[in-house]
Amino acid sequence: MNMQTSLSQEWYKFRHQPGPLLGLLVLLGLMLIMALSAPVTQSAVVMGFGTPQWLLMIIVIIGANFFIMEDQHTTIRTLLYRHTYRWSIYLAKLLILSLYTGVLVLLSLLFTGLLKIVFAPQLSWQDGQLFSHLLVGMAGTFLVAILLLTIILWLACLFPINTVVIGLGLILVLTGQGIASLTIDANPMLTAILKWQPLNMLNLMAQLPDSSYQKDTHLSNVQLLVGAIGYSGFFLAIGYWRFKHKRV
Amino acid sequence: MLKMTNIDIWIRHRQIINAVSFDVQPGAIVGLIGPNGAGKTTIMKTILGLIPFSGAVTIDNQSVTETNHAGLKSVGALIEHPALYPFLTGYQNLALYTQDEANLQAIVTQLEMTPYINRKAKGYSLGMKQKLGIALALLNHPQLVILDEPMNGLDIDATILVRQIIQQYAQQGTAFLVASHILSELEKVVTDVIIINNGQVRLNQPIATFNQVTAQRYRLQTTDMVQTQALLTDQQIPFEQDAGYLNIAQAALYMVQTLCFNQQIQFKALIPEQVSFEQRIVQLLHEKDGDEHAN
Repeated sequence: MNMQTSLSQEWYKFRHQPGPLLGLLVLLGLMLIMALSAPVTQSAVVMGFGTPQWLLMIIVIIGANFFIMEDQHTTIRTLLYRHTYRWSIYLAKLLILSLYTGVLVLLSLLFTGLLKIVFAPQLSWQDGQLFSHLLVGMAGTFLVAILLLTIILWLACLFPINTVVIGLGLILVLTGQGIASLTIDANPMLTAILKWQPLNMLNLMAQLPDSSYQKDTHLSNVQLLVGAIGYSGFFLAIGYWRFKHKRV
Repeated sequence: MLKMTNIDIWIRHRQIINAVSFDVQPGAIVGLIGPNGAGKTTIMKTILGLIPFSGAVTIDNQSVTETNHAGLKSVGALIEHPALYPFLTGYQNLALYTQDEANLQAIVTQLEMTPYINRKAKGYSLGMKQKLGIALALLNHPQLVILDEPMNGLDIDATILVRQIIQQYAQQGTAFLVASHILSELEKVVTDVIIINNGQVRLNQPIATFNQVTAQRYRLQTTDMVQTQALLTDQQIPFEQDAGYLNIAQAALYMVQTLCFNQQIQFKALIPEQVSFEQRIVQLLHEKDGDEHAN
């Protein structure tokens, strides 16, 4: 079976699950709650009403479920023997999840615009480059989400248990940036090395629209971008290596 | 069709499969028989390229390895449990892998799954799931079908139906490798028998040859049972009494015949003791185990 068949099969499974639609509704619902719970400021709009945080959590849950379901339902055997090469399965799953991430980012961008129009019509898109900062922040969120997906898929190959992978993924989302800052601050002599740790790359989505984060990350935007893309490639490679040698 | 040559499998420094070789010809229905842990499922997984091995597996002269499944294009399999997505309907589970819509419909009809094929698989009974698993294995006109315990959870009607379908596909040239603990069912359908134990092939022969087993014991009735018993006792020929018959070993048969003839005693009945397929398998496994322990 070729890549096209793998993609169409993975898409078929993905769109027939209730999780992805539910994930989208939860994301939009949480953004709405954020808009309703406090006065809408420029910063709230730039951050897409909490999009980065909610989106990453949803991606962790959907991504882990989509990958581990094959082990849970023992469909992994059929999947493996019916495909000529294992890489096509792994890549197809990652591409479908990336596409879903892209759709979530796009819809949350549109919904942010709608919420701003409804709850903060006095704010102008031009004020403090509101629109461009929002766009750049969403692009950063997308890249961080892809990095997180490669980590989740790797973890799913190591521990094919939903709760473990989702738990580890949520810990990364909730504490990753904090741990990165703490380790860098606690070891000033090692800053040159520690600033390149993968957890520090999670700051990309915050730093792109707000350069003040650079004092915490010790990396420029370009360096963070290169780091995030590089680590995505690294986790994709070690995740696939583990999947290739998976015993079923 | 399928050729396995000198397959060895080691898992965690333990040899699971030891020098296994056999062929499966087109149209053959090969029964893979053995106790739990004998290595049946491992052999099936090996054919599907799911575990690393040394030796060679070829299907239609195409090599199958753990990393190259090109030779498995026309292979269908049901290993251990039906592999189904519970959030998909039965039809959608099949549609996921089908290359021929008409073939899918034909299989659904053949397996009598039409009434529930559009229901989500999570609501299926064990038997329904099993049928769907078999349907998945039969999709896309496979040349080789591997079935591990296909009769699990099936009722009598479904068991007969599946047996008929297997025979029908085999007549059209599809080869089957079937593992089952329900030996009475297996006996009705197989053309060849492979017995495996402790990861080794103990016996591999056509069912016709396998069934040509000379009876080991005979039940005898004569015109004078009292005198016959006395003769056997005098000659120290072992026998048992069983519901009006004398039960004797096949090796003693000609001697008993001569003794009776000399005493003008006629045979009224001489019945070979039938050994069932099941008994024969058990006997063979025990014999081979005995040989192994003796060595």
